[in-house]
Amino acid sequence: MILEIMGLKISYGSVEALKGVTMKVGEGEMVALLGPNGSGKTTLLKTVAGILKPQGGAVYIDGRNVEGMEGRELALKVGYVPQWVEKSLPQSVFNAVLIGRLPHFSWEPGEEDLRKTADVLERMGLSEYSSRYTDELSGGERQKVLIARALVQDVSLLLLDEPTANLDLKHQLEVMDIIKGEVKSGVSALLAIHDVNLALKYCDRFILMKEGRIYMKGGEEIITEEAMEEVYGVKARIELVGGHRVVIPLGPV
Amino acid sequence: MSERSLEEYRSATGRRRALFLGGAILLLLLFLLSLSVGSARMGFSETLRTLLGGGDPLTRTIIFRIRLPRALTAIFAGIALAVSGAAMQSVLRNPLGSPFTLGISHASAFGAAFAIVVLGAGSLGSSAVDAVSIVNYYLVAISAFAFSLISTLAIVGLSRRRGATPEAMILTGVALGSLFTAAVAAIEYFADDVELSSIIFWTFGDVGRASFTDLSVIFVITLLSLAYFLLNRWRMSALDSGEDSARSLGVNVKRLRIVGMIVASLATATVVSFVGIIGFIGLIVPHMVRKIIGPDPKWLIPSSALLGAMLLLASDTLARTVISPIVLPVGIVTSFMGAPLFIHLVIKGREYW
Repeated sequence: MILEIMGLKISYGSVEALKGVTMKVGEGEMVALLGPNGSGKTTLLKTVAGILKPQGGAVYIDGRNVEGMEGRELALKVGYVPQWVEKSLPQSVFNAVLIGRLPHFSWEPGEEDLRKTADVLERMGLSEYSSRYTDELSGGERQKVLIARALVQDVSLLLLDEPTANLDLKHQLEVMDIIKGEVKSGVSALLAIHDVNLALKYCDRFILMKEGRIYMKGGEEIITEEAMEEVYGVKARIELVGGHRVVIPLGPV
Repeated sequence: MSERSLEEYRSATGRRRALFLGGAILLLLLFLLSLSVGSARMGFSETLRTLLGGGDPLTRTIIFRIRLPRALTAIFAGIALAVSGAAMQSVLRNPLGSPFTLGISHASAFGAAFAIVVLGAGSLGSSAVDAVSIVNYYLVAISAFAFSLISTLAIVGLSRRRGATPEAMILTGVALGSLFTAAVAAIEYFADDVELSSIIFWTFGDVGRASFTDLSVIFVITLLSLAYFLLNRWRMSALDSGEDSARSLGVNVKRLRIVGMIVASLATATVVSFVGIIGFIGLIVPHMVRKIIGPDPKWLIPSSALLGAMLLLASDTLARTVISPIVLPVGIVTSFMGAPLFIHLVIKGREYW
């Protein structure tokens, strides 16, 4: 599964959110989208997920233009985890995850759909919550429900918008481990993430975004003191700890 | 260990199935009760015997000419209104949505009144029983539907704007409801005394005035809309989890919203054009189902249909017996029941959205 984005442009009214973005995610790659608020990360993910339509350029999945695909066809390949839990009517956790199987069944979920849901709940440590309602969960647990929903969807590309934003440290690592596990089994993942160090620990490649454009892309060597200042407006020191880069922020420029 | 959540889901499903079956049996008993009580009382066994083809001519007339159409109308109108309410709440993502609170019932009532009085699709009688006799069923239903679409499209248009809160939609519904109530009043203003009393009587929802022909129209439309919403129940459930989530799962949200609202309005308009405005069934039934059965997509629509039928039939049986021999319009009973629950939802329902 290969994702290719060519010259993608999106505007909200007169505000240009993406000003021509070109990038690629290969099979079994875990790619971090980094950049400050408003740099276009969420817009990019929503466009790949088919929620927004490209106004210029195009998104290709395995060489096929996303615009020509049926919603369901795209949903069989691409899963999307929104940034913030949208307000919703309460559902049981089991049902909230089961709904991720929607692209796979038409009338009623079958045995395989139920089994996959139970397995993912187990893997995410959500089994004991399965009969609870989503409005009784903490922010972190809801976030995990959203990720579980994308996992049961059985897709080859996962798009995650700040998957760790509402989680405590332990849950952040758990969730990143789960995503990494998926990637190891051949799934590609593109995630927008604020925590640069978490990204450095887990991701294979990095895309730095600034004001709707790609500032730089590559391996962890692109995360430099200069890049942190240019993209985030932050003075930082980069140290090597156990062979990995660690960003130590010092203060705003 | 993944067995545990699966077991829990299965046992919850079994519990829901049992509740649903229990409800269906209760509805059957309620149906027999509603055929048996009234100014001429009869026992269950006599009612059953008559239904199966026995009984004396007088009992047969009472049951087949008066009580059976009435009970069946209550059942199908209850299904149509409750399912429409559940669907509107889902597709608009608004827990306060229903045909009544969004002003769609009022618009339908005006459309029907307009067809009857102005377009001459019916005639107005002088007594409560034959307050309105409809000559051209299709014209009445089509006119009711056409006017209901005005409310529906206004609400759908509003829902597409960012930041349209559930409350804003309901306030728009109140405004539309008032507008169409005023429009009915305008028709009343130009009516003579006899017509006036008939229209006023007619605007209170009452399932007692539908004939077998009316009933067959309600029946067909109710079944069609029920089938549509059953087919789309998982998509509506995906929408319950959020618009972006639903889209990323391949749901065409725009189409589901527009077609869903139109189908719900058609069912509402059909019911209203033959029995008048019956408030709150569409609002409270889905919430009762969520409390009793839980918000399970598999069961919300069928259970709303069942409970809607039960509630309207029970309300009508109550309306016929509470100050017997006077028969109250059922719309009065449902409003007395529904208004406090509506206020409760507005105050306590915050947790929903």
